[in-house]
Amino acid sequence: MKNYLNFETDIKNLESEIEKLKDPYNQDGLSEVDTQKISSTQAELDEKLKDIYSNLDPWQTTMVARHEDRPKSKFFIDNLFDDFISLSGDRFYGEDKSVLTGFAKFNGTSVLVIGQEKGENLESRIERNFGMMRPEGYRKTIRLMNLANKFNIPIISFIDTPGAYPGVGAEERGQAEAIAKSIECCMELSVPTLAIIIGEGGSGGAIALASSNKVIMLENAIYSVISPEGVCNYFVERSKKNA
Amino acid sequence: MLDAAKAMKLSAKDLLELKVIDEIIPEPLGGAHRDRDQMLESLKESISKNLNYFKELSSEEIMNERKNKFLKIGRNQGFISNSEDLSTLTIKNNNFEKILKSKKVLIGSIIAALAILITVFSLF
Repeated sequence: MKNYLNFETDIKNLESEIEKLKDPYNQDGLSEVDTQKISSTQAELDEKLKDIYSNLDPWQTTMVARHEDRPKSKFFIDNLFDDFISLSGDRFYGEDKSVLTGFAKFNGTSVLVIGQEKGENLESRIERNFGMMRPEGYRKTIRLMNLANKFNIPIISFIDTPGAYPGVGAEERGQAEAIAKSIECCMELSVPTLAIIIGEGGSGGAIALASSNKVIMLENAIYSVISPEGVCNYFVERSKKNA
Repeated sequence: MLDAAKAMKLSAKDLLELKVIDEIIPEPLGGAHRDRDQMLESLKESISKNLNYFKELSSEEIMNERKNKFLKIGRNQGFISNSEDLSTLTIKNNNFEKILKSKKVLIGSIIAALAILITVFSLF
């Protein structure tokens, strides 16, 4: 079962049509696969996709960036790097599962990989806290970035977070301090750092790891100080006060 | 929601214009989730290109480049006419050196004065 966004109804119809055509036993009267029809429908689908995706407005881009099926950090780490050794713990409080860190090989050279992970399904999403990092996560990345700096290993980070976690526990353990230290650490490094924004890049949660030499974005990713919903809430509150 | 999203300039194209980001990796037709393999290929290419670029730079150059990159953001939006001039800051130990040098001169002159005084006193 694929997930479709609300502006993709045409695509959904075309794709289900293709599925039906590929499975002739589903329909009566059709006993063999009609390849010509499939290819023509496929062409129509490609045309439609191109049409829709080349003219996405910012809100639609936001929805694509948050798409459930969008590849997450774990997918990229598993497929781009060899010999990934996951390292965990911040040596102060505990382990944050919303960020994956570890050393790996990229084309034979060692790199430090940091990936904010949202999770693929409901259980893993809850376990990963929907990609929202707690202070221990930032302290973990600081620890490992300093380690990489010591051994002159380049750092690659994948950014995909709605923002830092704003819970009571996180604030008690010094969320703001951890983010500030992380930015400071990022700026002081003498090794090359790359940040790749693969989905959402939400404010402090993202900039803490994205203060790097090259900030690279995927075409349909977003990077902002606050979510569009947050902005809307502010303005509604303000207009209520003024009224 | 659309107005908010438009006003915030959160898309990759806008951010590249504002020079907040450096590069956009094109996604396959219909978003990254429709063709993951192609996405991987283009990401791999971009990462290796960027890592190769930094291979030749020294650690100080890397640091300075990062610092200047962040100092440059938004500079051409203000009242300053020449943004390049301000953003090419390097680590400033010139001032410190100047003070050191001037101190040397100061200490030297004090010693000379003392020596003259002592010779003057010893004459009497």
